[in-house]
Amino acid sequence: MTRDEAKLILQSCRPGGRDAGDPQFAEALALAKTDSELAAWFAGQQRFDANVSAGLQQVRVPARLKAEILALGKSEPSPEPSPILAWWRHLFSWSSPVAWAMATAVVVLLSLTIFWKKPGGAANFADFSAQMVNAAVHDKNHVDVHAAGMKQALAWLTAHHGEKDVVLPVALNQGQGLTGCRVLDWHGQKVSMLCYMVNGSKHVDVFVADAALFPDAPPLDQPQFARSNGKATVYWTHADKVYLAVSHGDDAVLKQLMSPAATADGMMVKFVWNKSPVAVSNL
Amino acid sequence: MDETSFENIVNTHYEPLYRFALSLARSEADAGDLVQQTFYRWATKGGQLRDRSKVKSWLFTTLHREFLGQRRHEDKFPKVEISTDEGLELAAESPAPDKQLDGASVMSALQRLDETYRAPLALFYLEDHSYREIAEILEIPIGTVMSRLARGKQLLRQTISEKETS
Repeated sequence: MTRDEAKLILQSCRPGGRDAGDPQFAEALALAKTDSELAAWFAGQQRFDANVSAGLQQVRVPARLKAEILALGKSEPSPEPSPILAWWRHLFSWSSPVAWAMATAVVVLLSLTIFWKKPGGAANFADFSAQMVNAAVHDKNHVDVHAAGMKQALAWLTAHHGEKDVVLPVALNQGQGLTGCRVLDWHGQKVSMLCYMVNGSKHVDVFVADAALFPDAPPLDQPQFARSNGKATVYWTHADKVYLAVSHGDDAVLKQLMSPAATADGMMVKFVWNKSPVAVSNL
Repeated sequence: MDETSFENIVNTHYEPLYRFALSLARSEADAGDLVQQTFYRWATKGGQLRDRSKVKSWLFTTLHREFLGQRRHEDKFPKVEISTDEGLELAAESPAPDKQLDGASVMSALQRLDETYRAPLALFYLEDHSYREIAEILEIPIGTVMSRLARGKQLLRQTISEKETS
C-alpha cells in the first residue's frame, strides 16, 4: 500500500479510535506507525475532523421541534384502506398470472437497459476518454449552443444540468476562443463540454465530469498526456471534477495550455456561474 | 406504537437527524419539516421494522429519501440574470485552519458543498456513523462513500479556509 492509498482510506476513519478495529483500516494504520510523514498527516486530519465534529454538535436545534414531533406520535393514525380492492389492485395481486408476466417483462427490460447503457461494466476513465473523443470527432452536432463567453456558457450548462463551475488554465481565460458548449450523457450522468478555438485556429474540446464517477480518476492536479482514439488528449483532476481536453490537431496546443509556465501559481482560473472568476492554486 | 417507545426514539435521534436535515436542506424550516416527516413515517410504518438495531439507519435513510423526493419536485435551477462582467478577481487559496470551529461556520461551509459530498460528510461528522453505515443510509457502494469523503473533506477544508480569509 502506498502513502496516497493509505491517505484515501484513512480519510474515512473517524476520530477517537472508534474504527481502529476495522480490518479495512488495519493496513493503512500499520503504515502510519512506520511512516512519520503519514502519521503527521493523519494526526492533522483527525484534529480537523474532531474540530468539525465538535462544531457540528453545537448547531442549535429549535426548541419547539421535539414537542411537535411528539405530538405526531399522539395523533390518530390514518384509517387503513378499505379491504375491497379496486380492479387494478386485483390485476397486480401476486396470485395473478398477469402480474407475474408483467414483472418478468420489467426484469427483462431493465436487464436490456443496463446491458445497453453499460457495455463495458463499471465506469472507468479510459472508456470515458475514448467515448468523449469519439463524441468530439464524430458527433453530427458538435455543440448544443454557441456561446460568446464563459458566463453565457455556464448559464446554459447550469440550466441544462451541466457544470455550474469549472477551473481551467489561464490560456482559456475569460472564455477567449470559446465557441460553444454541450451537455452529454455518460452512464446517466451529465458531462459538460466546452469547445474552443485556441489562438483562433487550434480546435480543443474540454470535457468536465464529476470525479466521483470514476474509481480510477486521474491523480489530483497532475496533467496526464495520452492519445485516445488517435487524438491527443490531456486529462487531470481538480477538486471534485475530472477534466479531459481533446485536441483536433497535434498535442502542441495541449502542452502549451498545460505547460508549467501557463499553469503557474495563480494561472488557473475558476469560473463560477453568475460570479466573477477567481485564480486558484496551480496544478 | 406505544408513546413511551416513540418518545425514546425521538429523544435519541431527533437532534442528529435535524443537523443532517439542515446540512441537506439549508433552511431551518425545511430541516424541521424533513425531521417531522421522517418521524411521521416512523409513527405510521416503523412497526414493520423487525430488527430494532436498525432504527437509526432506518430514520436517516428515510430522511434522505424524503429530501431526495422533495428535491425532485423543486426547480433546481432558478433563473438569474446573467452578468456581463467578465472581470478577473484574484483570490488565492490558503491552507485549512487547525483551530476550533463554531457550529455556524461548520454548517455554513458544509452547506456550500455540492450535495454529492454534503450528505456523506454530514453523516461522517455526526460521529455515530461509520463509512459502512453511511453507505447503507445513502444507498451507495462503500468505495463511493470513501472517495466522496476524501474529496469532500478537501473541499470542506478549502471552503472553511476561503471563508476565514475573506
